[in-house]
Amino acid sequence: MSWLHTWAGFAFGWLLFFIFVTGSAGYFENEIDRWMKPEIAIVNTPIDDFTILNKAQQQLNSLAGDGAQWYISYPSIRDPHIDISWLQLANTELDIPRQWHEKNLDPYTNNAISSRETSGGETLYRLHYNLHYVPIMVGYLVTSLATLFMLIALVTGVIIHKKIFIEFFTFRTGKGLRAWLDIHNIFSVLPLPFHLMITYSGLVLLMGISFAPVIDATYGEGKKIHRQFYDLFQVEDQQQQFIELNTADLSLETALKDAKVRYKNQAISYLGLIDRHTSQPSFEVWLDANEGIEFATLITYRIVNERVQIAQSIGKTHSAAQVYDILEHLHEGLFAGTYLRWLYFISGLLGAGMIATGMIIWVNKRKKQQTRLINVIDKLNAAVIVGLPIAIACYFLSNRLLPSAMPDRAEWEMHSLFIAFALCGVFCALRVADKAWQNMLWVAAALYAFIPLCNMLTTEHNLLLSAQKGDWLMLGFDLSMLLFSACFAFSAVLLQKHTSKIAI
Amino acid sequence: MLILAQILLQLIGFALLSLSIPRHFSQVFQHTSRPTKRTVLALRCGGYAFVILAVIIAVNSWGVSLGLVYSVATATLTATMLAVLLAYISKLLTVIGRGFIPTTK
Repeated sequence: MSWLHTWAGFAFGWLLFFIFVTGSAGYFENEIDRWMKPEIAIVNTPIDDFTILNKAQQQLNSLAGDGAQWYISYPSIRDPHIDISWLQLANTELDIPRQWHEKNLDPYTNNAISSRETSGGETLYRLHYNLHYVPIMVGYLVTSLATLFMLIALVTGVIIHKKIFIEFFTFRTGKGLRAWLDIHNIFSVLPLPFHLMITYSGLVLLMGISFAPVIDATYGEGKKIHRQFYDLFQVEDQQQQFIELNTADLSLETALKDAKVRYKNQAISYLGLIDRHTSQPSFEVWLDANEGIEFATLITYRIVNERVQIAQSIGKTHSAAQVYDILEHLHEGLFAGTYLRWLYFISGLLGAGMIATGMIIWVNKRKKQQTRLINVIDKLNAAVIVGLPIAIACYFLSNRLLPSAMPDRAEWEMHSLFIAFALCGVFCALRVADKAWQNMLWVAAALYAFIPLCNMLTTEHNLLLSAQKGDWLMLGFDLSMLLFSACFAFSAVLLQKHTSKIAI
Repeated sequence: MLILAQILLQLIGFALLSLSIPRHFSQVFQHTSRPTKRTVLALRCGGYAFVILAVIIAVNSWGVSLGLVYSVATATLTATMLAVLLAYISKLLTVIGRGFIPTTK
């Protein structure tokens, strides 16, 4: 069993570390997005819902008169800004492709702002299941396989850990391998509910792909049939009713008015106008969920048989899809407020720490053999464990430093991440292992400290101004970067002390 | 406020539970002797009582699904804090522990 734990963990160790770190960053997707779009206007005074609608509609009318779909995103705590987006249908005569457009709306000046082209938080967190450069199916399958090994490592880990309760809180510092084992246990056991939940749900979320042969055998083969299976599986129950409203009066205003009467205490998340170009448009009102681990509620207004009908989803029809929904919500944590979001993030980082310490223990147990392979793995450990945070720092910095008119700018931000990652690998391969660890930690500390400074030098945002303006996301991001920098510097100092002690 | 109460209750609960483990008991109170069976039992009951109370409050105020998520996530936080406390500044725990142990001398 111990053998299985070691090798199941080792097989995909580096990839799992990558998945845990980029996945954890995903919990702050919106916050990262805000930092990577420094141009957008922050709304920190309450504005009437109808005023927002009017302003947004004015802009949409002038910018997207022929847009097929309109969306207006309302300010919330996590996204304190107003965004408008629209779908431009393809036009072969004018050579316009089918495309989504998005602009930020400044409610104080009525300007529509275009922010810089960026990959944002979304592309960063998507790395944890699409691996970016590989075909999407390969990404899904490889991450699923890694997740399967993670689950095996977790279960076998619990079984082989004989003193799981006695050593629940135990961390004996400064005792070599013993200390590494203790910290590995702490990183694993204390957030164990999170680790099990995230690993199991991660596996289940991609089951349509990883267990495709099961669908082939029981339902039918082929992409189209699989799509059909998925739609059937995800069918939602709808509550429908006709309301007393003149069909000629149906508009975003009246839909919003009606929804606000029906759900007095719920905040508006966004409004949508679908199929504008047809004679059967529908109007969507999305409300913030107010209970449980649900994310949002959608109410759709449309005209059916010359009357206005509202439809509201009341959950999935089939119990399998309900279970899938719960696992998905738990995995994504979209319901979480600030406190819970930080705990999700910390638990994710503890998971990354669990994998990192596992890899370090693997090397330490074999170091005496002094073989070349062990030595190389030790160096690559440094390149991955400290190199990935360095690469992410470079991703953030590239957002500020790449020229704004650069073609494929968003794509180059991602390239920066992987170029930095590769450079870390080369650097570590060329250094002595102990030195590599230390240098990498200092580089990470320096880069993370440079991020807020770079923000100050290249944009009009800085720590003081963000605090004055109440731009909490910008301030929080910059402060978090300083905190990471301090953690890396602290680790570097600890390591330095430790190595000098051994040298004496 | 609810979150703070949650953290505090769990912190006390897990602190008592950690003290019911002989290794940490001796470490905190600098005793060479091990805690008596009665002390261990008292610490354990007290510890579980606080943790269960915290879970009940969470479920009451946030509902079953969200309440459990809150409790479990907070448990990770508080237990990790305790592990750090015990490793580096274990003496701090004497303050919490003392009131609950009639037989320490």
